Amino acid sequence: MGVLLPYIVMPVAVALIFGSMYGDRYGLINTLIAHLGIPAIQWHSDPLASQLAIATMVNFRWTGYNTLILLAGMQAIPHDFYEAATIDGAGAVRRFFSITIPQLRPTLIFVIITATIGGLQIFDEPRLFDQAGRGGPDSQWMTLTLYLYNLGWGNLNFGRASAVAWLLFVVIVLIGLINLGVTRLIATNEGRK
Amino acid sequence: MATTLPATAAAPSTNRPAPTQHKRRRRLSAVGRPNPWVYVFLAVVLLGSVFPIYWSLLIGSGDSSTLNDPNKSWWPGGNFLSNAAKVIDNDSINFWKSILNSIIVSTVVAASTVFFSTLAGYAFAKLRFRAKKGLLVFVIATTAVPTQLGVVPLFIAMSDFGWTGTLGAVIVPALVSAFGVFWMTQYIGQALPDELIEAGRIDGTNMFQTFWYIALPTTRPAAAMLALFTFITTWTNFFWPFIVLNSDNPTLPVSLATLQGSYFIDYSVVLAGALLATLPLVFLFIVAGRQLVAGIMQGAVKG
Repeated sequence: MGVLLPYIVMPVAVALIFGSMYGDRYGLINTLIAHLGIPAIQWHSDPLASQLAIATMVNFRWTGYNTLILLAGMQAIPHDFYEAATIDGAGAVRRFFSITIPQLRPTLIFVIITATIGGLQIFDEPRLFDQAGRGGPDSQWMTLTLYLYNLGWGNLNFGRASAVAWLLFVVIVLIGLINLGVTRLIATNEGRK
Repeated sequence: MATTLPATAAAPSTNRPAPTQHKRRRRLSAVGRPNPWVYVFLAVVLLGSVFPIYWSLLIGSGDSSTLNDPNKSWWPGGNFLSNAAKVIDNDSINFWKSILNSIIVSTVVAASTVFFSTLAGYAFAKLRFRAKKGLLVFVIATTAVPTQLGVVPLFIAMSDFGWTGTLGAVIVPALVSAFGVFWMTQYIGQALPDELIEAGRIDGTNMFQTFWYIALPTTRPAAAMLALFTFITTWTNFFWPFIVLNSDNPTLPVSLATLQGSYFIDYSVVLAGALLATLPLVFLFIVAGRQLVAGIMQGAVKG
């Protein structure tokens, strides 16, 4: 149950908590990696680092949730499959890749698609990653929704904001379709082996 | 498949001695018995899930220098209450008002979502009317439309109504959700036998009485789940309240954002505020955590 605890923390609070950990100079993360001999990472100026930092916030909140969905999917796999495979001499790794993953396919597709669509829409975390809330000085961690907000309520250009919303919608539909195709492809290849 | 598998599977079995009876039994039971590394991994995941919350307590109970103090104590300090008082007394964020607003909005939205979703779900699952299937598909299809698409027209509508800055602007658009309708349709379809409804109709109940006395009580478990998730989603929702409300009449996430946007960030105060805003849901989690887990595992979808 502990893994679900992050789900009840509001994204705004998550952003504030992680924001305080990702300080550029004395932040917790930079202090920790300094002990490992890694130089301080500029979380608020390096594009990749800032995107990683925001991704960890989203992961923190949703990992437990998706774990439970996958767990429910796994519990629905008949136990006989595992017993049969064990008798046939399959090790734990083989059982995982040859039974669990193929049987979990619909659940995995669901989780991947909802997570991708959710990820495309993030707003709270990038908005609160720094005080200005404009996606960084060079738009390093600008997301579509943040861009939409800045256009609509920063520049009061509702027309452009709507256009961004439509583009977001198209991207979501496209990525949903691509995801579906790719997961189908992977799954059928696995079945053929 | 039949041609390739034996070749790879036969090779190891020939140069490995046949497992003894004892060994085989151990391997069978090994399906359900993880090795120590699994516990290590789980411990790390659990730590990752809980640590940020502990971190907010750690910093939120220190003073303004705690965050950047390299020799900080790993035990919470004694300043949480004074930091919390700074959050509550901060004039720019209206803490009590925002917590009251959050409670009102989340409760009203959860209650009305459950009520209207149950009504619609009952109709979709049990009543016969024209274009029923098409309408249901249409309702479900709207869940694929991102909130962002509706935000601009909705904001213009709210401005025209003169509702911006009022709680109505947050509550009214959320009174019913497509997911709720879908969820209740599914549940009523499988949990409420037609015979019960027929029995009620024979006993002379009218349409609404049938719904109220027969459908509503049987849907209680699903309704409770829907209420719980709607409450949490509404409580943590930031995007729309942030657009349509202002800091004079905010919900909790909006006032937290205001707290962070102040000129100088004192993280001990900000994180005390983050923790304060989370505490009500922590209590909810302690009381209803099991139902939350069960709800997600039954297929509740993120809001």
